[in-house]
This record gives sequence, structure tokens and C-alpha cells, in this order.
Amino acid sequence: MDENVLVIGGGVAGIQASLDLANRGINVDLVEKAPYIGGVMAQLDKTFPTMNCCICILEPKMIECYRHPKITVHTLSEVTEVEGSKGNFKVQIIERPRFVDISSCTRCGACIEKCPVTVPDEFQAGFESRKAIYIPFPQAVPYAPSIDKGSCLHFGGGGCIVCEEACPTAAIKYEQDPRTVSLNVSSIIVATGFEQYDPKEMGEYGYKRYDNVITPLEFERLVSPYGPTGGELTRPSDGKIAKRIAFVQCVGSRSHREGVGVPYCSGICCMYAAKEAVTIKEKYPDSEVTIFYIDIKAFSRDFQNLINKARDEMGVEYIRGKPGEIRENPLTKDLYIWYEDTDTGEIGRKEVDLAILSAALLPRNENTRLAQVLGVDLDEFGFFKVEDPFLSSLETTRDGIYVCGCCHGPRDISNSVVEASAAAMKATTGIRLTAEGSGG
Amino acid sequence: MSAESSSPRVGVFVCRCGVDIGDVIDVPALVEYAKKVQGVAYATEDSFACSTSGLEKIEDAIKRHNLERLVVAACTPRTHEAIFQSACERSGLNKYLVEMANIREQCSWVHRDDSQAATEKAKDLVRMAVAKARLLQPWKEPEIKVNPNILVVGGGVSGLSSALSLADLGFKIYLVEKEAELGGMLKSLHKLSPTMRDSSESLESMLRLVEQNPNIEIHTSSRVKSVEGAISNFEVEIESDGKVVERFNVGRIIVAIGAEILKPHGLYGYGHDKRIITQLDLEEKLKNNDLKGVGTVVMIQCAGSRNDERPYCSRICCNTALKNAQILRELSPDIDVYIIYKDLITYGVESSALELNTKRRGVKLIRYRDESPPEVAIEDGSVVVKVFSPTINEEMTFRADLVVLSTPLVPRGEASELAKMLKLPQDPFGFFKEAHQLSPLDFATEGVYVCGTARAPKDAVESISEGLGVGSKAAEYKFSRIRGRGAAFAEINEKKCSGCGICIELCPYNAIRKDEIGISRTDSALCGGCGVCAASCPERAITIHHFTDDQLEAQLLAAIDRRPRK
Amino acid sequence: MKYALFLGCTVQADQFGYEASAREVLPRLGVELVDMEGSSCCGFPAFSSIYPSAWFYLSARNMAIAESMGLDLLPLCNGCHLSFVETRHHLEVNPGLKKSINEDLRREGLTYTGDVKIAHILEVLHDVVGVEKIGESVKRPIGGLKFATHPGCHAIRSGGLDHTDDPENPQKLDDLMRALGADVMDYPEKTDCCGSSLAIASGKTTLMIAGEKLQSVKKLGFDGLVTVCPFCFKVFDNRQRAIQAAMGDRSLNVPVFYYTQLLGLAMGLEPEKLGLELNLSPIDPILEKILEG
Repeated sequence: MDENVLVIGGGVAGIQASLDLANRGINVDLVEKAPYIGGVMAQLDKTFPTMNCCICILEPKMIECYRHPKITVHTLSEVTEVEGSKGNFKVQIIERPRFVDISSCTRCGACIEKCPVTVPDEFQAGFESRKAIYIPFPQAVPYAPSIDKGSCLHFGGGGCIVCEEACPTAAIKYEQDPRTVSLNVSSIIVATGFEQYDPKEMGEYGYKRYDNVITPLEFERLVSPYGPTGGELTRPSDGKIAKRIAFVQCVGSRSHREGVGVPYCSGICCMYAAKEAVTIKEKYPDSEVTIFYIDIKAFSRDFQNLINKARDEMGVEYIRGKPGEIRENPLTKDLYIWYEDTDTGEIGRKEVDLAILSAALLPRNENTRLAQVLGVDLDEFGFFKVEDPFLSSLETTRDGIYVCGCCHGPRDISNSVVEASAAAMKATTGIRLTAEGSGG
Repeated sequence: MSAESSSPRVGVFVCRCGVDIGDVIDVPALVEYAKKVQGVAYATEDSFACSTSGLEKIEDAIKRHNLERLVVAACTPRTHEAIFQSACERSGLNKYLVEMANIREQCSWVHRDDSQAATEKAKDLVRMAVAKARLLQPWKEPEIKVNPNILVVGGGVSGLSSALSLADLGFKIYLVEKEAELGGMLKSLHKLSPTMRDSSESLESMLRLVEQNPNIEIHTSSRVKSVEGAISNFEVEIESDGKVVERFNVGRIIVAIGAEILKPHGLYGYGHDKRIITQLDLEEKLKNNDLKGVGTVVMIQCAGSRNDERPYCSRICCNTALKNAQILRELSPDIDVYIIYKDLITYGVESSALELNTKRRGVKLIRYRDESPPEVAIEDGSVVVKVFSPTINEEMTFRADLVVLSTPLVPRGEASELAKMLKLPQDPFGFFKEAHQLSPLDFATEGVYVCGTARAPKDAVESISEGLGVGSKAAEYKFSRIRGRGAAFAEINEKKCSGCGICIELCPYNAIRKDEIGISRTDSALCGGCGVCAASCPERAITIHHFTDDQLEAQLLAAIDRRPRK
Repeated sequence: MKYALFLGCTVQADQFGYEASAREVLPRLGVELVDMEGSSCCGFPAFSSIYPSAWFYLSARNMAIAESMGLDLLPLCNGCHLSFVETRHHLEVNPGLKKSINEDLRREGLTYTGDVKIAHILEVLHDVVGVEKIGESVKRPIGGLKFATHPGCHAIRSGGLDHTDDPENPQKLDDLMRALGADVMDYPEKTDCCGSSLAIASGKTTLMIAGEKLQSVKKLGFDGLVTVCPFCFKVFDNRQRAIQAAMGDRSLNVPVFYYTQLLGLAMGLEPEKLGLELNLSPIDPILEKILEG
């Protein structure tokens, strides 16, 4: 029996689920919205607690996935319609045009060089620009350019054909149309991940008002050797190396303020802050790093070791007390962080060069639309709802549709990958536990 | 295997690895040098040899230039060798005809401050790799039929999930459980968070499915006595009441033996007073409604964990305490509950909701600092708990009717035995350790998997996920006929073997046996290709394929003779 | 635009400069100010601290007077403004309280319905009149001078009730200063309190709090401080000598103005009309610069 499974989302969880299924001989259609697979993990510098280089360990999986004979990867694609039921879903996908014929493209880069349009590069968290025709990053899979229709002059009515003219193999195809693909699948796995909370609404921390207050994703790009600064942790305001750095934990998480943030704990911020702090200390041993926290959640294997390494070996200062406000010296752009050290009861003002707000993990905005298309429920926060995680592990509220990774709540890479394998299993077995004890 | 008489055409690809190699090593010079090395028919560079375009370039070059061997000078073979092997396959070359020269981890990364020296060293490494590559031989993996039997050791939720899902795929499961009943830890629990469903009831449905499943053969009151063999062909003996009762042949083994709660004798007075108990003891009391006269309950977190002896966090204790505290308050508003904690380890959506609900029910959470843990003493017949609270800067005193210690999960005694039997590494505390972060369900021994709390502390929901996850790993290759072993394995020349037996003693895989005449023989299925036997054989009777003496000698000579010879 | 002008205690007691300048500039911008007959203290901060029902009564009464005039209420003081806003909220969520206060008010022939709008001077200038119109009224721009704006706590911290400006990033006073041609710059202590609420309980603390703010203002190179609240002004300006003594820093000189005074100067009015002779902080050098143009 040739089984077909649809995996929605090409991040590390979606990739793992696809590989598990394909290695068992099952056909997989992997649908990814971006022009590349890899998700958020591709943007990160290192993992915790092992401090492995993210792209180094992710890339072999991305490539294996893309080249696997049993996996069809649809980039620039979205699911638009789902009908039917478990065992027999009829799915419609829309594949947006890349406007580049990958098979004739030689990746020479001439089109990108000649393109006259520059826009902020979202992969580099806005620190750099890219062209309207672009390859997202050097290890992108597939490694091929695509045209961002929204910023392209040609599609804006400008008549620009510079890239077409520059291409030596006539690979630019403006006339490519969106393509609707119909699939017949027996089950669906949702692995659409998360998005980062925008701390702008927490005005007391000055994000977007003060240049040197940044988010973790922005930090990851700054320290990445493939980032806008080649890995140097420079301050956005003046390009100087940041020597005094502070992390403010739980920004947006554990919030009981009406209309601000979310009440839950995002689980991974304690660890990614420690990881980032260790990264800084490894690059700049004489830097001063402070982490302002409420609780230290180091709950998995070797997590506590990393915290101990940061704090006891490398001298990262941990102060228990969530800062009340961050203010900026208008002349130097240095930051002042007002806090109470709840262990000593002292109020302090810390002067730093750079502050990183450990932002919450939120469900993606698109979940609402996707949930509607899939006919599944979301929980009160907008994550995909799993009715009973014990009896119906990883099952959404519609039979035959499963979840893994952050799309149903914040979790780390290891857990996401475990769940991906688990979802791959659920998607292809008939076992369904119910409170009444009947099988299915 | 002797070297071929005609010199095979070697292609050399130097990868810049973005800036990781390219910024330190003079890549164009290295390419030019490679062209002059004997045997090299084609040499080029790429920014990212491992990218889809880089690989296409390699495949294309192999075809266009009729390359017969491939040298990739790039990063470590540990992560990327498989990719280049697949590139060979896709261009019609046997996948074992590629040799990597690690000019990143072993060169550019460690010699950042001396470009010139790094480049010279890279030349040496490339030259050596080419010398070996010329002597590489193709190899095809033998077909091993997929064994449809799987052994699951441990009948808790993790093992049960694994068993059920694999049985559903058509595997035959031998489920071995040391207790008289299946169910593991969940049998002893009262309610499960976040649903607050009864633990035994939740377990019921799973147990019924297992019992009804024709593909699952249950062996309770049994333990694994021995395991021989390797993936696809494990010979397992199980014993009951001290004697061997069954023997199975299985293709995969899933270890789901769980963990146990630490009973911390002496800590906070545990063992000296029956009012000082563990959370597990509390679960039992709740199940039996055995809380008469309990008015004040004090729970102490991190009791025996996150200390010098056990620096790890046991992940579930805070959630368990909150859950039980909530239940106590629901039983009666007259029960006061205090939780004394260091860091409150609640994470994610459900756990955070549990925290909020528990606080709303009037459970008081009191923080203590590492340096000043709570003290438990018996004063005038009462159990008195004292703790300094940095939040209010005062010492607090409680007279407790019950002191509940939230102790960590620790590996079971059997874990070490099983680890040795299956050659699975353990972390310093005895939990089984996975191979790599991005493959948390893959383990050092092929065909053996660990799930659930035996691997690390986790709750029931996570254990189920892992059980399903290892099921997915174990089920891999069900539909594939070919099982790969890798080209490196030992071959013993029986004519040269003197029967000394040194290799047998040293082999870490127990892969060598003496035959009837006393000659050493290897089991190629077990052999890991480590080379220890070949290195120690006094008669030089053992060859390691893919690392033959000829190949290694060629590499060594190439290392010291710096003339490219063309 | 017509408002019932609520002066409150502090303005009438000693902040004549504020009243004088407000009465000069507002009508010139089309804002008619009508005096209230029989208005009293709003009850803040003394009554609100120790006798809440009297506080509610006093504030409600003043709002009722405005209601009887058929006009929106414009207090000049931040404290009065928040007092009215809070009282209105309390009476809204507590109908029993509202009923009993109305019973008392009936004796004076007044009724409080709560329909009265409570305007703030920043709101009137920034949102109603508008920065553009203000800019047009400027004849003598305050170019080349950099001011630190001090909106004051009660304008921006309103505990969840409508606030006049963004509590973390208030910009209205800055916009209004820019309309006069002046330079403004954000500074870390911008939203810090002047400390005057502690003046009775711990006068020295008040001076230290205000002093630290002034020190920062001076260190950052500002030419002066501008505010809209008489309490704040009183501490920063009237008590600047005392601040110097408390801080042990005789060189702590910071010129302090009411916005309406600077607006008046920018409009081309004479300093005497704006009560500038009553400013006790060293404003002369700045005043000269402004008058020279």
C-alpha cells in the first residue's frame, strides 16, 4: 500500500517527521511557506545545551529531506483546502511562483548583483538588505533564487527586466503562475512552529525606541558567522563591540497584565539566554554579562550544566529580579536598567551597552487561517489544540490531523524532534486511545 | 586487497565553508596544488560543497571528467560524509570511493592565526587523502532481511506506547516486564496533570489495548538475562524466578525500564518520622484517601536534586507538587499547603496554567536560596519546618502534619546491567544517553533505543511521545530490504593467525570468537570497524577494510613526502 | 472652544506665573476660559489620602459646577486632573456612592451626572488646538535652545484609566516644544517623579528626588526644564535653592519654565505678562537668549 502523508511546515520538526516517514517507505508532501526549508532553526547560531552550530547539524537533514526520493518539497506553498477524513483527505495546495526555473539556474548570482531594488533582509532580522531577487542565506535548501513579488519593480508595473537580461541561461521566468496542486493523503501533520513576541508593546523596555535594545532573533543574527557582522557582537547604534550586555528574561511571558504578552512560560528562554551568554563570553572573555531572571528553568539533560558553566565558570551574573524599566542615555545610547535584586532587596541601576529582551514564543498569526482550512480547533492562545495529551497524544481535534513541535506550544529543538518522530508514528498507525478504552 | 594497477582518476573538491575555511586557508592555492598531486585528474573549489548546488557540481564533475575517486577537503566526516557518499551514488560511483580531508576542524578552525601554515597543512591533508583515495575499493552492503520481531523491555506507558504503535504496523512485539503487572509508575500515581484524570483509569485503556493486541506477547515477572548479536539479529534470553524461560530472536530492542523516585534517607529527616514522605508516598495517600488529621502540608522542592550529588533537575517535581497541592486544597479548604522551592520549574502552556490555578487555590509558594535550605526537625513531637525567605527577608516556621519531599527520579538499579548488556552509554547519573542532540532517539548501539524516564526524567505525556518516537525509529527499514553497515570491518587472514587471542580480549564489540581449531573469526554483523584488533595483532593478520595497511601506509608516506610528484 | 477653568489650590496660592501665562496664551489660540463660581480644592492629595469620601465629594462638586455651566472642565494642575478622572471612575463603578454624593450636592442645587469631560492642558494644546496652529502662532521662535520636558506623573500614570500621554514614552509636551522651534531630547529620567507628594512626610526626600533629576538634566546639556504642573514647578523652580543645599551642590542651576510661559514668549508676548519675574530658578540668561531671538 502506498501511503501518502502531508506535512505542513518545513522547520526542523517538519523535516524530521518527513524523514521518518520517508525512511519507512511512505510518500511525503512537505509544504513550506518560505522559499527555503529549515524554519527558525536555520536562523539561530547555536543550540543549547550542547553549543552545537545550528546550521551545521541542520543542513544534512535539510539536504537529505530535499533529495529524498520519497519526499516532495513544495516551497513557497500553502495549504488552501482540506476535505475528506482520516485515510482519505483531499488537499489543495497553492504553489507560489519562484519566477526562476531551478533546473536551468546555475546559481551564478548575476541576477542578484544587477537587481536595483534593496529591501530589509528578514532573514538577517532587518540588519542588512537583500535584493528583490535573492537567495535567503548561503546554506539555503533549495539553493536557488526567488523573486519577492512585493518588492520587485517588474511586478510593481515598472517594466524592469534587469535580472532577465543578466541571466546567462534564461532562467528568469516572470510569466510563472501560481500552481494549484491537488493531493490525496491519508493523514496530515502540522509542524508550523512559532513566532517571536514583539516586545514593542512593553514600552518600559524601549524596544524599537532605543537602538541597543534587541530581541533574541536579532542577537542570533549578530553573532552568527553568516550574519550581518560576520559574528561580531556590535551595537546597532554605533557599531562598537558591545562589552556590557544584559538579558531581560520573561519579556512577554508570564505576563498578567491585561492585553500585554501571554500568561504562560515559554520554556526555552532561560536556556537560550544562558547559551547566548556563553557565546558572548567565549567570543569576548572580558565582557560583562548579566541575566535578570525570575526562575531559572533548567529542566532537561545537561541544562543545569550549561547554567553552571555560564554562572560559575564564565562569570555570567545572575540577578533575580525582573527589571522595571530600561532607559537610554541620549548622547551615548548606553542603556540604564532599573531593577530590584530580590535576593538582597537592593534597588540598582545597571549601565550596559546592549540589552537583549528574551521574548516569548507565540503561536503564528497564520494559525487562525490554517486551523480554519484544516477544520481544527485552536486553544485560547492560538496554538493548535490537543484535547488530551495523554490519551490522544499529538492529535488535533480532527481525526487524522496531528501536530508536533512548537505549533501546539513552546518547546525546544530536542522535544520538537522527538515529537516529530512520534507524530510520524501516529500518522501511520490506527491506534487511538479514548477514555472508554476502545481502539481505533 | 591490493592496489589497482591502473591509477584511478581522483577529483578533489575544496570547500570554502563560507568563511570558516575560506578566510584562513588560501583556497585557490590549495586547488592549484591539488591539481599537481599524483592521481588527481580534476580539482576545483566551492563555497559550500554540501549545498544542493555544490553537490550538483560534484555529481556533474564526476560524470564529465570520468572521475573514479572523490576527495572532499571540507569539514568533518562525522556530519557530512553521508552527503558526499550520496553524491557519489547519484553519479554512478560506489559510495565508499570518497575520502574526506578535514581542513576545517583539524585545520582552519585551530590555526586561525597563521594562514600560511594552515594552508601548508591543508596541502598535506589533501595529499594524504588523495593517496588513500587512490587505494579505496568499492563495497556493497550485504542484504539483511528485516526481522519483524521487536523486544520492548519495560511495561510502563512509554514501553506500552511503543509496543502498541509498532504492533499496529505489523511487528511482533515481545513485551518484558519485571513486575507481575504492566503499567509501571502510573500504577502508583493518583491523578495526572494537566487533565487531572485518574491515573489508573487513564492507564486502563492503554492496558486493554495491549492485552487485546494479537501482535503483542506479554511476559510479566520476567527480566532480560542476556543479549547477544546485533541489529536485525539479537538473541535474547529472558528469565523468571531465576531461571531462563524464553529465548527470542528480535531485530530491534526498545529499552523502556523507567526510573524510580529517590528515597533520600536522612535528608530532611526522611526515614526518621513517618510524617516525612515523598511525593510518591503522597500519591498513595491520596489514592487511599489516607489524610486524616492533616491540616498543614509543607512540600520541599529539589529534595536531593540540583545539589552537588545530583546537579540535574528532575523536571516533573514542581508540576507534581503543584498538582498535588491543588488536589489537597480541593479536598478541603482547611488544609494549608506550602511549597518551598528554589526555582519554580513550570514550562509551557499547560504547566503555567497549573501554576496559576494552584496559586489561585491559595497554595503558598515560598522561595528559598541555595545557601540556606529549609530545616526539618522534630520539636515536642511536632514536625517543624524552618526556612529563610529572601522575599520577605524573614525566617518562617511551620508546624507540619505532613512534610512532602519532592525528590528526583533516579535510574533503576537494573539500568547499569542493561547498559552493559546492550553497550549503551550512560550519563554520570545512570540515565541512558542518546547519540546526538539532533537525533535524541538514536543511540550508540544500532537497533537499540531508549525511551521514557530511563533516558531522562519526564512526565507521562512526554514518555508517550518518546515511546511513539522510538517506534518510528525502530520501524525504519521495515519496507527497505537493505541494511547498511559501513565499509569498515575487520577481516582475519586465517593463515597468519597464531591463535593468541589478544584480539578477542580487546574487541569492544565482542565480535571475535575462536573457531574449533583456535583461529580467530569475526562476526561481520557485530564488528564496528574500530581497528583495535588489527592494531594489536602481533602477526599482522588482520586487515580493516576501508582502512587497509596499504591505504594507511600510503597516507603516512604522503604525509612526510611533500613533493606532489607531477 | 470654551472651558470651565479650574485653578485649584496651588495655582491660586503661589503659582501666579502659571495662571497669568495660561490666561494670556490660551484665548489667543481660540480657547475661551470661563471662571468657575464657588469652586474649591479638588481634595488631592491630602483628602484623598486620609478622608476619601470627602475627597470624592470635593472633586464631584467641582465637576458638578462645570456641568451646571454646561462646559468641559479644564484644570491647570496634573494632580487636580487625575483627581477628577479617578473620582469619576469611582463614582461610575460605585452607584451607591454616586447616589449619596448627589444627595449632598442637592443641598447646593448641584447634580453630578458624570457626563462632564475632563480636559488636560496638554490635550487641549496638542490634540484640540493642534501643534500646527501653535506653530503658526509663533512669532519669536525659541531656536537653538534644548529643553528637557517634564510631563509629570499625574499626566501619564493613571493606573489603567485614560491617560493624557503614553506612560512610557510621552511625547506631547515634546511636540509642543518643537512647535515653538525649540530642541528637545529624550533623557532617561524624563518620566521620573518630581517627588513633591512626599513633601509633607519627608521633605528632604523630595528635594533629593528632584535634585537627582535636575543633575541629570544639567549633565546632559539641556538649557532648561519645562513642565505643565504647578506641584512639579514648585519643587523644581521655587525650591531649587533648597535642592542645592540638600544635594550639597551649589552649582545645580537649571532654568525652569511653565510651557505656557515659553509659549507666550514664542508668541511674542512681554515677559511681564507671563509672570516670569516670579520664576525663582535662574532663567535670566535663557530669557535673554529667547528675547534676542
